[in-house]
Amino acid sequence: MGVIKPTLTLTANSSSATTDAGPLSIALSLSATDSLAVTKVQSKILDVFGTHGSGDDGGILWDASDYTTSGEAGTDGAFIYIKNITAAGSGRNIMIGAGTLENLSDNGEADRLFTLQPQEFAFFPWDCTQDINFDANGDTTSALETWVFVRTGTA
Amino acid sequence: MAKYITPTLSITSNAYNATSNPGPTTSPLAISVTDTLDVTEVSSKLIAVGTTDAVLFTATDYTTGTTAGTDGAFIFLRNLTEGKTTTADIYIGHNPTGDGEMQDTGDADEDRLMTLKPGEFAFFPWDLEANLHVDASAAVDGALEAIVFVRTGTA
Repeated sequence: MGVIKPTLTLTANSSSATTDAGPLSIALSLSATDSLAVTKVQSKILDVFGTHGSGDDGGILWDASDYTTSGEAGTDGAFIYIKNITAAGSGRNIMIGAGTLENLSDNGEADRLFTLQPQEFAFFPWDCTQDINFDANGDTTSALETWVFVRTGTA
Repeated sequence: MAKYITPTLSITSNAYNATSNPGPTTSPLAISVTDTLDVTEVSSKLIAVGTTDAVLFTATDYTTGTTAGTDGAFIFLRNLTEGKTTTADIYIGHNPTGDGEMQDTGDADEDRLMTLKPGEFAFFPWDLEANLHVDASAAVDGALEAIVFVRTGTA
């Protein structure tokens, strides 16, 4: 078992600031931190593709069955960090979905959880009840960095 | 006029042989990432959680558009029940099938994307393709902090 410590800060200037004005009339300063017990760490950097052959595309980012077969709420799970590492301004949009492996680029695709524009990131728990999938709006090598930290107690 | 928020995430851990809070790897981890996000709207709430599925955020409150990378938002969630008399694991789902429950006992419930245990948090984009839902292991007032930041450009 090991402990990781994620810390997130979310800041914004007030809307009257002359540089990087924020979305509120007051400045925003939010901070969250925690210590998480984990047993396993995996990391990879992936190429992404935009072509869609037979309607299915992208790939499985993290396969739930690699980590657990039970999916017990609050016991089995992991924490996922994902970053679109393509260049700001000229990179690819990368789509992340859960469930069915399919073209996540389509408009109105309910299996698409979110889109990471270049340099955007996400950090969230994942209960390993379904696979996490990825897709993109074009081909780029070494485009997506992702880590998974498996919760201690996961069967 | 652009309005910006700046999220910064770090994930750190000690080496596995540290005498205090040993990490999950032989080398210490130090992941750090930051970004500047252009947003137009902020909506924040502290909500009570119950033991049946409820809508956390309704996608159509923010857009009827469905374009990947254009329409969307960023979500911050934090389980505030740490230290309360009653704590709860909080379950978050995306586009659940509607059986009213995200905690099916004994097997994986694919409606449940993640569990936030007391003190845990998440930060991720949301493409407004489907509603986000919430459920919990116990009913607790003031249990979940939830903030949505709507992307500039969202229709």
